[in-house]
Amino acid sequence: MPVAEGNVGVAIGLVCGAGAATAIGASAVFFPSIVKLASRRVLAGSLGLSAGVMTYVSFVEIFFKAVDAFGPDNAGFDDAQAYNLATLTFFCGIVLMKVSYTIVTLTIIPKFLYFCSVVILHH
Amino acid sequence: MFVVHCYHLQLVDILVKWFSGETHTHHHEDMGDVQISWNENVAEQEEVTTPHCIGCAEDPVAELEEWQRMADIEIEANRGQENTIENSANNDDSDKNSDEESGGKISNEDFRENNEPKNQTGSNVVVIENAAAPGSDLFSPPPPSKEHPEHQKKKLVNMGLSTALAIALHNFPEGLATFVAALSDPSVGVVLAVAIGIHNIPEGLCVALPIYYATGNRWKGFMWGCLSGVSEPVAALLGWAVLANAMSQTVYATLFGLVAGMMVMISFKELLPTAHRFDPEDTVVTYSVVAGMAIIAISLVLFNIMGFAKE
Repeated sequence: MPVAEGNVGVAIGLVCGAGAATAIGASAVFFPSIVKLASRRVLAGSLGLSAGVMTYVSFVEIFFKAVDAFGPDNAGFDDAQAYNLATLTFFCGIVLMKVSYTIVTLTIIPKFLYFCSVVILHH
Repeated sequence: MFVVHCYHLQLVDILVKWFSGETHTHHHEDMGDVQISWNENVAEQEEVTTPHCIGCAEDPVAELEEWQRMADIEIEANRGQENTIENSANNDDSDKNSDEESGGKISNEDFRENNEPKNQTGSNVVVIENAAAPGSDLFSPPPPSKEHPEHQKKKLVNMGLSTALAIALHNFPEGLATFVAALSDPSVGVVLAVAIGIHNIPEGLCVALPIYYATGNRWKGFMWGCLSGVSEPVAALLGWAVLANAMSQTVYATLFGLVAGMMVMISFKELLPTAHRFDPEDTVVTYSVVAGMAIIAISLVLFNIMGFAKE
């Protein structure tokens, strides 16, 4: 299986589109009527919708793509090994995310943020 | 409570100044010590710099209500700018009519607030006090009365920056996931990108608004909101760099596994808790999660039926 062919442009375009949605949200500073649209239920619903899609895709699609990619056709492990390795990397991903959350809450980062906020406020 | 009023007063002043474009000559006798030096007492800094959870607001619902209140004031200011000065006599009536036209979604407090003329800052204080009063009935702690308005602003900017950092942090694996998924199966990538885009909209809002309300600078708020979204394409480019140079399929497979775990962690640690804090009665959260799952399941099945079979 080729690693990256043809779809790279589409993939980067999709990611840029998803990132541009942040700019749409940030543009609410120019249009106060957008803020009025953001009711509690709308916010909760959008977060929940994304959470549903992301967990489903992770468990159903991406995990088994990992199993496939580890499998005999691609990386060359046998089926059982491929499944075990996919499970291992899955929990490595969870630990990685937990570690990055922990790093962000280390005392140095909030202190730095406080400094930045003072600078932004007085700049 | 008074200090909180001063804070609101300042924000309102900023808004009024912004929209009216006039120089503000109103003097606050009671706020003579607004100017704080950069080296403040350590206790205040400690209070600001010790969040219980980075990126999580202590009370997102109260913040949202605050933002909506500010938006109301702004909309009102916009409208006031459009109206000529002669209309100021029947301003209240026209406001009432336009509010009724806007579909009754505005609560009574907002409604009452909208009807107050915004020209006198004195009335603003009273109105905001009335509007804020019901919130304190819900067993919420009273607003910290010893805080300085300046301190409040710093807290606001600090909150925006913390949110920006947290969002940039979780946008990174999201961008990577979208990229990897789109590479292997464009249909999955499209649905994932749409889902991630949907929740990026409120995230950008959560970063931009506090910074804007504290600094009074729209572009500053917008810039920081956008900056938190930039990490998504950056992650995609980084993923491309890794995959393009990867000699083995094992790297590809490992990336898939990691991304799956990270996405699950983001959903369970950030998205769902935040959603439940916005909606503690769970009127929509569970159903929207199920709807999200159903949407992607249906689209995957449809893609299969239409013949875009997976390899």
